[in-house]
Amino acid sequence: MKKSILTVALMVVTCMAFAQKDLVESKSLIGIWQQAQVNKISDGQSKIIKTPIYKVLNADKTFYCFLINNNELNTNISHFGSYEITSDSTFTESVTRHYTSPSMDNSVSQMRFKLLDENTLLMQYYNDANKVWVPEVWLRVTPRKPVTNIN
Amino acid sequence: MKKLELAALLMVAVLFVSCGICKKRPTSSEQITSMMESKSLLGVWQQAIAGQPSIGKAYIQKIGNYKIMNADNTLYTLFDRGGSLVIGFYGSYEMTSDSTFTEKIIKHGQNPSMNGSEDLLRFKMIDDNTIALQYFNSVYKRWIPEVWVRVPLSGPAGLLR
Repeated sequence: MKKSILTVALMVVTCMAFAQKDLVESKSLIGIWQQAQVNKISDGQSKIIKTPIYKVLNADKTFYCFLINNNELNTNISHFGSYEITSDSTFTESVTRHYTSPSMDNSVSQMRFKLLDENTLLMQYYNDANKVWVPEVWLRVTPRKPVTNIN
Repeated sequence: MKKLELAALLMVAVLFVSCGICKKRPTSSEQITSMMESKSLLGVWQQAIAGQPSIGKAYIQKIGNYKIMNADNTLYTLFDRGGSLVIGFYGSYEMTSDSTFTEKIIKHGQNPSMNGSEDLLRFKMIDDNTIALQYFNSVYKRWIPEVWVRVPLSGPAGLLR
């Protein structure tokens, strides 16, 4: 019996560890994403410029977005809520609170997505006012060797 | 046979309790709201340096290190490197008293020798949005203080949809 209980306890701890690994080492929509802009330059070439806007899509179907003011490193969480994957190329974002646009509190947005590769996400949200799908590019935040340590 | 049935029943009961099926589970929306509106260690934290200029008042300057402490007892850190964030380490945490917790590192990006390590940390909530942390530096045999401030829920209008 002790062995059985230990096995169950081990399963729970393992599930918890994997939930975190899902977020940090995910190759799917789940993950920490940084928004980027694709700027067209001459000769049909384009350049990707990272913005200070981040979206965290957790494994437990919750999400939040934050913005870093790079000049003073002031960081704000702009909105948070939950999401539901509705197909292999669509999901819905249910915003619980939106601090930048309070009119979006308790709103639901339809989203389209496509993983261009494991670390690049093409997303589109539907702009109701202009009746168009607006594209966004997001790059995955990955584990990397920091230069200095805090702990 | 009866013993086997009893063992099976007990196992199922333990599994149900462990998974939280027996009680009402919070919805995703409730879960993220409690994290975002937390007044405890749970939440998104940004490290700061507390200083005392030679003339004038004490100050707190935010730096580009972040610690995210989730409701499911997992945590990870993010570091600003050249204007973009990278993941520092990830793992789990456990409250051990009202002023201490342990951080268990599953994977440390900078220092792989810390993979699987466990640190005891002391903490004190200065107010709902500021924590004073201390971790023990085993090399220097002393507690190192840190200040963390909660990332606020707000946003300049027009920057995000």
